[in-house]
Amino acid sequence: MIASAVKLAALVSGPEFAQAVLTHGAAAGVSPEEFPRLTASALRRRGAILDVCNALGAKGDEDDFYRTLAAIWLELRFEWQRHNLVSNYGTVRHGCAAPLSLALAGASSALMAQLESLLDDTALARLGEFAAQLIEGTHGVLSAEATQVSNAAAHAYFPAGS
Amino acid sequence: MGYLSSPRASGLPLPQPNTLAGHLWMAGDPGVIDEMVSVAVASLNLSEAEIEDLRLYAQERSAAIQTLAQALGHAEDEPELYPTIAALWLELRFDWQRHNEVMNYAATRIMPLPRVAAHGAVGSAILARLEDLLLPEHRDELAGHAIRLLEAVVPPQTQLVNPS
Amino acid sequence: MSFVSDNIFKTLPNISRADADAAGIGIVQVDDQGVIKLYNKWESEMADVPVPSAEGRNFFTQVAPCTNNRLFFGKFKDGVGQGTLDTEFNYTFSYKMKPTNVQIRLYRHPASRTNWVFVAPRAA
Repeated sequence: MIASAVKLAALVSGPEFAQAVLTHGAAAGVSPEEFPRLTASALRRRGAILDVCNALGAKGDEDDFYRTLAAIWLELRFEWQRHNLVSNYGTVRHGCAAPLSLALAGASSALMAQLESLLDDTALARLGEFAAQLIEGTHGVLSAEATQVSNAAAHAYFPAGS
Repeated sequence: MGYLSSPRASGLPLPQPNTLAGHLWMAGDPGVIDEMVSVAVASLNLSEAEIEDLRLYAQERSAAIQTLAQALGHAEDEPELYPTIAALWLELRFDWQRHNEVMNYAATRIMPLPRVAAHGAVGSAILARLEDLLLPEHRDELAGHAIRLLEAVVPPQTQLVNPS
Repeated sequence: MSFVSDNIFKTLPNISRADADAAGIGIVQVDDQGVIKLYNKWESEMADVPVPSAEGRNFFTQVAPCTNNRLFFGKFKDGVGQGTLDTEFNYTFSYKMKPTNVQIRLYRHPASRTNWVFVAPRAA
């Protein structure tokens, strides 16, 4: 297995990630009933990264492995953004955020931090900027006007009652 | 209020039908998504534990979609909801792509991973339900931009050295 | 009653770095685009972002990306656009830190047209 795959596998298998999940869960006030679902979700994510290490971690796969790491980071960044948005809409509208949503935001952020140790700053900055601009709606042609057209398109695929 | 449990049981108001949030809510219908799991399970040889894990994966996706629809369910949220749906679509697309790569790389090493194939299949079916909420040109532009961004990512020379 | 004391308001817009660092709450001055001009010690420690890594970068899109939405950055942009901004709300930070409940005040000092983000901890 290439060095970066070995390092990533060790990082996600180590105690820091599991501890971060538990710490974020406790800090967010996740209930005892929800904790198993939080840890199962985190373990699934870790398993997915280990699958990548095993499948794409052979010598000769370095470029593909590195790009896949970058793609996973971007995927986690979008996930974190989503949990952050849901949490804060909950805070502003209802006075509190769903604890599990907060905990998942923390968990995805913790995993991102581990991946960042294997990715270069320039790539991360560009990927992060893309993710931020997308949410702002400033990327490309995403705009408020598009929402109205999308609504009509969606109605065609999901007629009332389907 | 369980995020991974049913958003319908959260006590929060449901999105209005015939709104973007309402359509997003329908896209995450847990009954429809669970049916996708049944289809995937029927065609692949999975253990009981793998089937259970697949169901949880699908339930999480359903809850993620419907929770987003509930959280940004007001009419004035639509300018933020639409790009967020686009971001979720990209997120799920990366997820599917990763499963696809793992499956295909594993296949070249004669390591069949039906559980990965199952996740990819269910993930792509859920992805298709979100696609109907986005304009095709937006999907194409976003996916194209993401692909170009990632293609430009190159490992620094030092990371290519394998100490063993 | 705001968590930002009158004593702090009296020092705007020319609050010294020493006074900002001694304030006991987060104080961030940003320009109309969100680029950080002043990032105080409290905010730096809460966010675990060194001051030199923050100043000169955009607060909303780079330093605190969890604020990059309509609820936070949107309010800031609207207020700057209208030339008047003074709003207080609850928020939760979660980027590379355990979820942290805070109170936020966004304020545009009318005479100097400078923009300020104040941050303080909040019980859940």
